[in-house]
Amino acid sequence: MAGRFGFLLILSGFAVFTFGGKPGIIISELYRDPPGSETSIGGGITNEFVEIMNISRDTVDLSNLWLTDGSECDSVVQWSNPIAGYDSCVYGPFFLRPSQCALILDRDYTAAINADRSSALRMAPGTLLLTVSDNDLGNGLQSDDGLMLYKGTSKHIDTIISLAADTEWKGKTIPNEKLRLSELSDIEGVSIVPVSFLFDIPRYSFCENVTTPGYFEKIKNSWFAEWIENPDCTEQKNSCYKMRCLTTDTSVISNVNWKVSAGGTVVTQDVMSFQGAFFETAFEAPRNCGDIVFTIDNRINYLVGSKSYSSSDSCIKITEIYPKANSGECEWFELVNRSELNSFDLAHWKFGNHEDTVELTDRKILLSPQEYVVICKDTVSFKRKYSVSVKLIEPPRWHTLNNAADTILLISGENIQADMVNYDSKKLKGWNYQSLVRLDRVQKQGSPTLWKVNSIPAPGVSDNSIVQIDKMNISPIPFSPNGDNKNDVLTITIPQIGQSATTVEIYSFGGKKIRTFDQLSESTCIWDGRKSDGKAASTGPFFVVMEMTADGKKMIFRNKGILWR
Amino acid sequence: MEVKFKAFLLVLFVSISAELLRSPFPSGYSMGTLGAIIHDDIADNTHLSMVPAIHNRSFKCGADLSIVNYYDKMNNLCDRSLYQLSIGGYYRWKHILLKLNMSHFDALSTYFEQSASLSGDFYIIDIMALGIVFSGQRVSIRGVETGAHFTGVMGGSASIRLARVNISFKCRNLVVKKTQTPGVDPSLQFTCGIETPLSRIGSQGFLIEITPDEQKPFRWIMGEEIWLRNWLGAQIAIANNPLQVGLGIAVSISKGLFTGSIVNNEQLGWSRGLYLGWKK
Repeated sequence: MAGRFGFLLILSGFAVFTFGGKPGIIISELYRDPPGSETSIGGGITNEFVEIMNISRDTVDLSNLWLTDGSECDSVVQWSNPIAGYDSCVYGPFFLRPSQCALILDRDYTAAINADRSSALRMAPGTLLLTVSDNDLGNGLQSDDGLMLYKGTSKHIDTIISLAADTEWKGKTIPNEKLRLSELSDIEGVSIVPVSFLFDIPRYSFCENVTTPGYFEKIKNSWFAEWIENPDCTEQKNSCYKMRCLTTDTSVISNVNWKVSAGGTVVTQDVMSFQGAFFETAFEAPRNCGDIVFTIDNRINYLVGSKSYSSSDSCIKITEIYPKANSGECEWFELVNRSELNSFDLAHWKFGNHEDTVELTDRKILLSPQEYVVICKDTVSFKRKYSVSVKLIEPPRWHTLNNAADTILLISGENIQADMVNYDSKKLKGWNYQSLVRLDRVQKQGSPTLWKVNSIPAPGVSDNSIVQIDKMNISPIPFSPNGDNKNDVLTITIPQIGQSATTVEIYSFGGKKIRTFDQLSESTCIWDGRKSDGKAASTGPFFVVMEMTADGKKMIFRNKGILWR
Repeated sequence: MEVKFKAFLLVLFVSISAELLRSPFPSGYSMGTLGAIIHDDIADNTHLSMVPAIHNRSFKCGADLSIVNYYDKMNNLCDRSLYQLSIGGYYRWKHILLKLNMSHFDALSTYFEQSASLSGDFYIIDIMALGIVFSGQRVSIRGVETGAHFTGVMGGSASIRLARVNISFKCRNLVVKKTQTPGVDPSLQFTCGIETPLSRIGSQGFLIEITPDEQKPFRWIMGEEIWLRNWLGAQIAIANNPLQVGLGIAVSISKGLFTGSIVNNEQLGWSRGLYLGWKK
């Protein structure tokens, strides 16, 4: 499995769906090589699936729909009997509504999961289940198979619906040779998904979350958006983008606002003007001043670009590690972006120790503010053990973490040391095969990292009830206690570090203490924007200072926020 | 009527233009030096932003510029700061000193305040000056649909220069245009101060601020300013409620003055300020 993502070059093919410029059905996920041998019941060929999605504004009739991998043509048919445990899925009628996904499954899928329940796919509710008239999808999907969906017969193509292949196919004749979607012989257990399809050259790549049957990650509230960075920007300080959007919402005709912000400042905005089904625009945004966000209708955000990581950012940190893996498990460690404003691209970041470092990924993977990512040796075995939805990165080569004691360095793509942690089993009582959760936020040079043995590993989860958090958080920023039931209170999240006594104090911008909360025992504290005398606190900046004593050690956390009315 | 008018003026004190700096530091003093709480008008008549500047009649006009960065980095939003930029100018015509100031305050690139103020100080008798100021302030925030708030305030001051001391009274933030939103209009504040002129041991000052709206309305500030050379001065100040300690240096070259100050708040850390002034 190691080195699998060495092939993570984005594959290009021709997932054609826009015949005549009109969107229709797209092959939105292709699971060609499930784990296990091809012939095994439960896993293997019986778990293969083709996911399709209707990205048009019209309901699409699925009759006379065929699929072929070039070696065999199969008629797509309705799933006959509901599958136990899949009550939330849809078994008819034989059409696909806008934004709806359908899964074309192997006919033996029911028998397979009855034989081995652990192999059952987790499908999104509302997914239409389909199958084919033959025993297998195509002739059983090979790890380099492409696929064509078309309307017609086993002998003739009326219309190509969607094509996921390296080469374009035109004409009405059935392909007489295998359709290929690149050579990827060792991608067992991971599906491929389209990463770009709104522009002329559709591209497929590995699914970051291994498989996501019935759910197409590219859709956001019925919208799709893609962008291309133009390197020939007239202004060197700017980045130039070409943006293309599509919606399946039939109510959207015009008058939809869009805007682009960079570092929180709106740099351009306008109203969408659709050309057919698409909206297309080009824009410039200042480079390296923060997140470049494209927003549709003031509610749907696309993170287009981010600033480079610099030594002053100091906000991407290692928060949990799992260096002692049991048999069948994989090593992993967790990162978080503690910035509340900036995203960072993890492409070409490295981890390791002073002797050996390896690259995390060569892909552009943006880590949003407060977002977690897990770096693991093997995504498939990781997903098998942890049922959490978290961004995963499997480096092309794994730097093995020492079971007893080690140092982990994290180095940015700009060769800035972002973090360094160390651990030593001699100093960690009762540490067997658990994860270690980091307690200290800022580590002094040369000092040991503070860890807590976590009996229930929680990779990528920030839920306070599960994970021991090691810092105070306040939200929202700004908060507006004006009685409109929106952001009316400030929630102060209190670190849960052992037995501790906690005091939270609110300070005005002038530095005066205006509110105190004593003897807090809950994991959160709420401030309603009033001073101790009940009067409204002034608008503007304020400060939250938390003092806590844990294990005889005094800790102080300080956050700043904005109050607005 | 005239007596009543003068009495009215006595309770309307000069509010200096730079006072509108959004500062946690002693009000009524240098906008640039922050930590300095001694009237350098007495020492070297440099800081026009202070009330007693009216007492110095050796200059005709001038301008000043200051920037303040507030408090230490904190555990969140470490890449966003709080700062204020202020620019002002003044002109003396006979016994009247006119001042104009504009400032911009930015908190975390999210919350903004812009203010402009116009003030006039004038002598009613040889040792006593009165002043009045009108200010407008716009407060806005990014990312929230609520519109900006506008506030209009006025203030005034009286300053009496005696042989060995200077006494001043001041009132700030008399709201003349209210917003309907609680917590936006600034709080009314009264100040009373006494300063000594420069001597071998420098000059000293003591100030009391009263903000009736506050839970703890009283605050005192005291400090020392001493000029080590003709061109080099040092300042130290301490204040309570909240406890703050300020240190500053001042460099005077020809018609220009540069000061740099740091002020510590026991809970929130250090703030830094720079001031550039020019007078003719």
